[in-house]
Amino acid sequence: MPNALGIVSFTSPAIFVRGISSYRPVAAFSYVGRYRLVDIPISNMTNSGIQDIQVYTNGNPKVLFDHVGSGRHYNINNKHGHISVIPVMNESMQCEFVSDLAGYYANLDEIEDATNEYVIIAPVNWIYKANFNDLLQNHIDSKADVSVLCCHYDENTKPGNLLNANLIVSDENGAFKEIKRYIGGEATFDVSLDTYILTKVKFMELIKVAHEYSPMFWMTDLINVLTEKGELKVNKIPYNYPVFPILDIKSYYNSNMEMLQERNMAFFNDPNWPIFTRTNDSAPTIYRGQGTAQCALISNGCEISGKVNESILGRGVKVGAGSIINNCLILPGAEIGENVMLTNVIVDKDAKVIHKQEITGYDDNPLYIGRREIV
Amino acid sequence: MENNKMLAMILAGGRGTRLYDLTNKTAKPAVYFGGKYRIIDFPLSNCANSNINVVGVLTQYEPVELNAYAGAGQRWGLDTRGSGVYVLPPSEKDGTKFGVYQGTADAINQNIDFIDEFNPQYVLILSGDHIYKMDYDKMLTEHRNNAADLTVAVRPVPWEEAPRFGIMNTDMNNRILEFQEKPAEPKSNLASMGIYIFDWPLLRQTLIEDAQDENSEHDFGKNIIPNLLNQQKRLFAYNFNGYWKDVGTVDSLWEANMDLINHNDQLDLGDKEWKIYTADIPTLPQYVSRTGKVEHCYINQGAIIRGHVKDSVLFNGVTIDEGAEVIESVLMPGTVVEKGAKVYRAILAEKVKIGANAVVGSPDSKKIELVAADVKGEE
Repeated sequence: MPNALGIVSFTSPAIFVRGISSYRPVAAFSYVGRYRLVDIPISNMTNSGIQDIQVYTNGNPKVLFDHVGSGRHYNINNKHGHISVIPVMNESMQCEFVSDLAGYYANLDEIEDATNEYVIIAPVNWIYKANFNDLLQNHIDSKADVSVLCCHYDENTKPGNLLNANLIVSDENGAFKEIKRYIGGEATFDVSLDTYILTKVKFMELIKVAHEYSPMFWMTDLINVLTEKGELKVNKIPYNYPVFPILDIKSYYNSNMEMLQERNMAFFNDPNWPIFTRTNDSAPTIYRGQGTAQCALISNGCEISGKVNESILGRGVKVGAGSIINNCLILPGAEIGENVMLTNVIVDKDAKVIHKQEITGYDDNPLYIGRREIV
Repeated sequence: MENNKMLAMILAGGRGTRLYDLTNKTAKPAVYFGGKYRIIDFPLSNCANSNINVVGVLTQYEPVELNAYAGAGQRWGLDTRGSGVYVLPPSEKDGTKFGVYQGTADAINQNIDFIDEFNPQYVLILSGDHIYKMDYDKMLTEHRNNAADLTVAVRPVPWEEAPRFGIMNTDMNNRILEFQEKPAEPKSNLASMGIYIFDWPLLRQTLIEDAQDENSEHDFGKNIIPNLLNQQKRLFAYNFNGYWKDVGTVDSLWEANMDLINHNDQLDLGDKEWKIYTADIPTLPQYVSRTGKVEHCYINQGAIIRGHVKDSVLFNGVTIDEGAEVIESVLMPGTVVEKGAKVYRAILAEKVKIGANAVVGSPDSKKIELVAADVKGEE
């Protein structure tokens, strides 16, 4: 069990998912039907034995307070463990342009009070499964100041276009040089999973140093400046398992749909490494009449009377008789009426498709139907 | 207790011998039902939804699994201040020999001290092995309005089945005039559901007297209710017309599961106003692969379907491999149906594995096959 404080970080304004972002912070995005993105880093942490977790969020935190709650459903011991949701905001109570380091600075006292020796920072917009004990050991062995988790890709293996991801640039010896925004062009490259490991002492120091430089410095800015000055040694930890990014609406859609692949499903369907979430006490899903599903992930509480193909359904989705759903991501509580044909569509929470009979998005650009909209 | 001064006691000691291998190692109330539940989730959730805070669960037969399960009151929201689920197996007491619960009334009698601690005005007696949704608060209101000493929930049964039940004969105001236990010639078709609301001081006194009666079987139906009738106490019937099923046999357990996929499912477990709570098991949503096909089913999260499933109820962690076929069956948690295997009209007990190409049950059999051990496949 690592003696580490887990920090779930938030995304920069560069990460923007058209439509979905209007209603909630990235951490609260629905994922694979029954999860929210925040469940992934928290589950990696609690499965690794981390019991002290701070979730920073730069959007309306209402839904996260409700979802994260006491943390008991994440297997956090309610006596000697603790999880808190910490909304970040500047003096005028705005959150849009507050950096991660500024958010930590505002919470410096609580970080200082934590008795943990190490800090592990994980983002909400990279889906991966990692044992932080192994990563921490790698960090300790490296004797570096900070370790960063990264994935090596080439043009054929990269998961999506990765625009807006952070690229890790190395020098001629393969050592860490800098982090910059990925815009493509390299034959092979390392992408940062925005996951950092360092001692709490170093973490506190970085937060204070960053505040002196500029309250608008993000972790990546500070790492670049200090590395260039020779004041920071950064260790790259390679990660070689499936990774799904959430960087824009297309990658959000794709990273959900990737879970329909048998090998990806099997990788994440691990009884020894469960993804925890808050239960909704929904009944099992019922298939009525001609209702059926093929190549689909379907949450509980659904009522399916139509055909569902290559799609993901959130909790409590209704699909009416005669309807056909292809390549769609239907978020919890949405209702698809009778004889509706949906292809390549994201239907947000509690929306209803009851009047329009046929809606088709592009294969590479899914159509989005907003929360509580009636189409 | 602050809500309605009523405490509930669930009689969960039964073995359920007619469920055969399903209850070899577990008590009947812990038997699985409906894709994600155990039978005892129903009375416990009904209590939680009826504003009852304190529930005693009387266990006896194979209690370990049931004790661990029922003791975690947070599952049903029964863990806030003043609330609790208390597991009450028979225990040694000062001045008495350590024994078992001799009958339903004896089980309550042995826990008088427990009940007294909460000082309730009413005690609700429930059975731990029935599937139904019921608002006990409404029953209590009727009990109060009637100024009753005892209210018995009843439901109409077909006349030809009435001789199998405890039958209540009532007047126009629902006052019980006569109680017939399994009558050859029933005068009414109102059957007791084994759900009673007693005024606690009266029940307490009656139990103490009954305990001293050497001829008594210490049973609510056989002794306590007839006693109160003889004493001219105010006994009333409370009519219940919703779905109710005793799942005491393999056939009735199978039928109750099949009722969930029928078009006129009366139980409606999807009712958001009356949820049935149960253990939360972290799994992915149910996965139907490219080779999978589901029709007319009731399926829980965590099931993986690569074969063909029709008219069936699947629990979490069920795996059905490619080319396998599952028809009119109930597959309990963790069961595996390997490639090419066929399962017809069967209940597969927890974690049972049906090997490749094996065949279980038959499509036109009247009898439901209970499979409690692995079935070897053919290569």
